[in-house]
Amino acid sequence: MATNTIPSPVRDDVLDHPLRATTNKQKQSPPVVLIKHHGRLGNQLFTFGHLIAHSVETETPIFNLAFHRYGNIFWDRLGTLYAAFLRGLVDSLHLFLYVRKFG
Amino acid sequence: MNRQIHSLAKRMPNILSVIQCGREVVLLDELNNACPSNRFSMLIGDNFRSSYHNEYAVRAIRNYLQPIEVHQANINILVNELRATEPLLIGVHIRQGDFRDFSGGTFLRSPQDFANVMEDVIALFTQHHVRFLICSDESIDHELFKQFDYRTGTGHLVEDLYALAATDYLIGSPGSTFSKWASFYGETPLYCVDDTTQRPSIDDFQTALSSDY
Repeated sequence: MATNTIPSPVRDDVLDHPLRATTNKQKQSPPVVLIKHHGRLGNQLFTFGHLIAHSVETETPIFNLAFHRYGNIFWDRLGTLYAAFLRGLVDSLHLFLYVRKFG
Repeated sequence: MNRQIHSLAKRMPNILSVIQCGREVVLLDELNNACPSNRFSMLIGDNFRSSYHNEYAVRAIRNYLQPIEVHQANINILVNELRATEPLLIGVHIRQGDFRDFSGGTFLRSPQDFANVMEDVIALFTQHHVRFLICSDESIDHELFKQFDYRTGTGHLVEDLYALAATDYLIGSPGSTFSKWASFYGETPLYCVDDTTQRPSIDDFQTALSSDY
């Protein structure tokens, strides 16, 4: 009987994955950004899986800002900050445009 | 937030496209056809799917969506302790909490239902010593499970999830993507307690796929 063990934490595939290093692959498609997802962890993981599968196949850069709630569980602090930063950037840009028009 | 994104897209029509989905499924594969190639695609919703779940993609998903080392270490400690005497390790995910109200309680199964299935599963593996790892989003009634050799998870969301993935078989809650993800990630055969009157057979344990959602 096969016994499952926890896989090695070495993330060899990820090192040249477009999620982690956007410069090592020629960009063929525009980035895809998931802004909002209403599900909890399980649903979010499956949706993220679909995004990763899409990214791996089409070499599309993806950003999953909706995952920031669980980001600190899966990535280091920098990755979480990065997601929070992008989310903040969208808000700031909107504010900037709003101020420019009505300010 | 939705309003802001739509507003942004209106102001920058050459840069942003917004794709929003409700209950209907939107295929990511069709994004390139639907959106001009020079735009960012901003997605809002829960039902975006890809059909590219080949072996390489699945490996990338598993590699990328691993917990950080501090959680991984706790999982390793727990699983190593559980496997110390080389039992057949079976994970049990008892989801209660939000399932009481979700969809009229359709997916809610009582802890007693899980205890019944655990007895059935022991009968399936008579040649092994069976040990259970029980994880739940609510406190566990130890009196109910006292006849089993079991241990509970650490109680941390992701440690429970990936410890369940590291078991040999899984008993999960029906309709729970938490159970399914554990099955997919660990390639662990899963039996969902769907019909409480049914006694599970080994063939009823099926490994979930990354495209199962």
